[in-house]
Amino acid sequence: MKKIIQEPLLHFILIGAVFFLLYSYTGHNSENKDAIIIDTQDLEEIISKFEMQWSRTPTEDELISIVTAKIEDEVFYKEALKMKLDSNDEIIKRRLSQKMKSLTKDISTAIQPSEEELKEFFNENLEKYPTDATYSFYQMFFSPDKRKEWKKEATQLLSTLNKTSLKEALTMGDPIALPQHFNKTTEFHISRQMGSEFTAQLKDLKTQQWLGPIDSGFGTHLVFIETMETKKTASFESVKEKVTSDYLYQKQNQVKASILKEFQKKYSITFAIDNPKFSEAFVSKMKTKIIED
Amino acid sequence: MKNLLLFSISVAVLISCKTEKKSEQNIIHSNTHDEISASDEGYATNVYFGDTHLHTELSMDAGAFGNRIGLDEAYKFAKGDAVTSSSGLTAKLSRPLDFLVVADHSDGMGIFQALFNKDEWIMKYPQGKKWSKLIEEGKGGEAAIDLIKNFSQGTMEMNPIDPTLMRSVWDMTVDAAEKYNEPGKFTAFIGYEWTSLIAGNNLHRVVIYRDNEAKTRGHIPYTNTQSSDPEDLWTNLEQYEKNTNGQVLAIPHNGNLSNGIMFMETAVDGRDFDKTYVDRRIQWEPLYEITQIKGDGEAHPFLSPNDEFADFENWAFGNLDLSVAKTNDMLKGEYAREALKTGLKLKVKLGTNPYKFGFIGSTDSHTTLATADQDNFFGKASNVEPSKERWHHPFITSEKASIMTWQTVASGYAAVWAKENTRASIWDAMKRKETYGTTGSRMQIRFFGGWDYTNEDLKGDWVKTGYTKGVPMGGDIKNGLNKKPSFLINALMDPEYGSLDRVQVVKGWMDADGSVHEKVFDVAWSGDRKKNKNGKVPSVGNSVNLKDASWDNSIGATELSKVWIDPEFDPTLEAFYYVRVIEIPTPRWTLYDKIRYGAELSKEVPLTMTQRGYTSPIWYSPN
Repeated sequence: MKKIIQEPLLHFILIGAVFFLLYSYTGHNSENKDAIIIDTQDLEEIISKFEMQWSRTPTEDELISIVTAKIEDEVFYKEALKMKLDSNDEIIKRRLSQKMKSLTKDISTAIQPSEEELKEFFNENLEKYPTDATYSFYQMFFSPDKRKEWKKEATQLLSTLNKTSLKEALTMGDPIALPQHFNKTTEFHISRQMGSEFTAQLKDLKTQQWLGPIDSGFGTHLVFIETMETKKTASFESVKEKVTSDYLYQKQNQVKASILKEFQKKYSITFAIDNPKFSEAFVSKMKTKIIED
Repeated sequence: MKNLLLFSISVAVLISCKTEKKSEQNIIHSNTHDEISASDEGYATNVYFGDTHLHTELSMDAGAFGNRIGLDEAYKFAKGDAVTSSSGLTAKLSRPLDFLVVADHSDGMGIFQALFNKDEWIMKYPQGKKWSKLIEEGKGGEAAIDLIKNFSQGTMEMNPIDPTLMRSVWDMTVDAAEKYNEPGKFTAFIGYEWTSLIAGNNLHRVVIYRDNEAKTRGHIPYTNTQSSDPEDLWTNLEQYEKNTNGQVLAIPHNGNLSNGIMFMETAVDGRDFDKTYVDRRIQWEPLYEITQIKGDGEAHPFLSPNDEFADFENWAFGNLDLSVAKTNDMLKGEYAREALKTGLKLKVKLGTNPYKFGFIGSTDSHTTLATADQDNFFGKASNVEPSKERWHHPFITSEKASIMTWQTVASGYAAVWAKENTRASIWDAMKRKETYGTTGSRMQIRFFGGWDYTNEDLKGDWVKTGYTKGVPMGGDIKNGLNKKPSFLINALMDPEYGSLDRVQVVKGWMDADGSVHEKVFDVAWSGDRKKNKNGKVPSVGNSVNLKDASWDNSIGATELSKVWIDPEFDPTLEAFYYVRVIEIPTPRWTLYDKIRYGAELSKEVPLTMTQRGYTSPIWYSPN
């Protein structure tokens, strides 16, 4: 079954079938091509459109004149089709292409992935679903506002710190409106307060000792990491919602693209461009981009 | 039935078809487990940064300007994922935002889609044909401007609120917010923009709901087509709360494009304010969007001649469609500081201050990309996404004036002090005005007012002391007989932006004779600069290297703290105080365009800018 599903020709046939069915389902496949039938549904549709535009119900006369105009349109429309006036008309072309696009869009939004498909997607994209590394640590700040050689002073202090008690050590830095202690905090939350430069340096540090100096956008820090949990892959259950959302986003785009591709295969596309105004390099770039992508 | 069955089978086959793997552009910073980190303290412990004012392709003007990306991209981008912009560039924030309000225009919701698809009903109108043709010819920007102008002047031929279109767009908006809201991690508010214009004068408001889809889905957004009068909007908000038991607020923006009617002393129908009007206004509009892409709205040099920082990215050219040029007499009704002063007068006259609002900033970006970063500015709309030539592309032109793209400001984030990152917690903080606006930097500002802060209070757990001995930004202090108000202030730089030049307190007050005044106090600054004879701290200088867009943070301070006591306090007079924090100059987006794309900017284009933060005021009242 899986093999059949992957067969592009089948897709094409099925796409054709879908559109054919849709077309017949909407009731335009009348037996007699020259019959024009105005039914109750048509009248109701006219009335509701009128109400939308004018915020009131049309009078009988108005209704009759709208129907007259509609029949007139229908007659001319049918005659025009017989004379093939629709061929190569820019507006009709654009409109029909829009209709196809919107059908494709409807199909792509009907996707409802199974648990299995989601898991497969999750396994293929594990790197997108890490649980953040978390850290419990103390930081001591050395302020460029308050010290001339803040970095040097931090380095000098470091050598003596590991003999000092934690509590005493913490009094040796400069106060700043940032937490001195972070308890089991994720990289995401550390970055929100300390900036990404600081956070990026934590992962290389050992635990249970004062280390540094580490620079941030604020100045220089010494840190004492109590415990750390490195980056891991999240469990499927914990990220299922995000997986679903990513899956749908990707699939919808893929389906749209693959439908277009299937259709496009039926046509040979040739670029007959001989004016030197367009360089060969440009033409070949365009070919690659449009045909091979 | 058989047909339907076949149809569903075909669909099922279609969607399981394998396609080649695309190169994976999305670098997802996934932090997917919920982390509700509410504090046990009785006060707001975290500052959250967000954008309350973002447009997607669903806004009629955004679509016409060439925006082809929508709600999914808006949220993905705000949460830190990489997305592809309408012009095909990869866009990613350096740091994710904490919350987002997608605020598409309620008028014309879905109209652009109708124009693009040449829907029959819209093609009946000459304007519909004209705009649709322009869009087809790739002149969407022209269509957008013409559409905005006609909308501004109320000369649109078609009804811009088609109920079926609106319904479907509103459903999409609500669904997307529900889908991306992630309590504890990221807040997606349900909201929209009410785009009120009176003869081109901007009275826009962003409407933000505290509630989820159950309450909001049934309440279709209110439109300018129904009424341009803010009082009618408030009635709509009132009805919402009454019908659903929900909660909602509105945030006005761009008084600078209102030609004097944003902060008047009369209602838009010309009648004098009465008690009902002033009560309702402050009930529904607790905040003002003080800075955004279409200009900074704090102060204007004409109104504040003694404030050397008042001349900052102002847009004093005319109204939104530039149909009427700006004159000086209009400015009074346009700028936030002046409105706070007018509010004191109205309070004394009517018993309620209608302009007792706090501040936030936001982007008003029409590109689906909520970025206010100078080095990552995607422009006001999709037709001016990064490129060598965008700087001299006209933004709006009329016979009266023109505004060029280089004048647009990469500005506007909302900072909110809350306990946790949830709709309820952040919305409540907005309602109580514990907020500030920045021009894009994520500096951290605390501001408390009370009667007995001392320098000792800057030590230890000063945040707790701040809350215990007084009120935070947005609050009130009263009964100051025989005392002077003291303020506990702390500003911490954004580690990824410039260091701090200075912290100022802006005071406004009303004298016994009914006249209103203002004064800006420099209260803390970097280095050992001395105040000059006018009491002003001299300039910090400019360290930006124009060749490589680097700068030297050592001229500014990492952090500035101060307990400031008002030396000129008169306990009998109504007053307000707010903090303005100014960073050292750093590169403006135009400099990055020059370096990255070789844009040949003309001399008038500024290359550096000072990032700022504006806190909500604290008000003093003698009674």
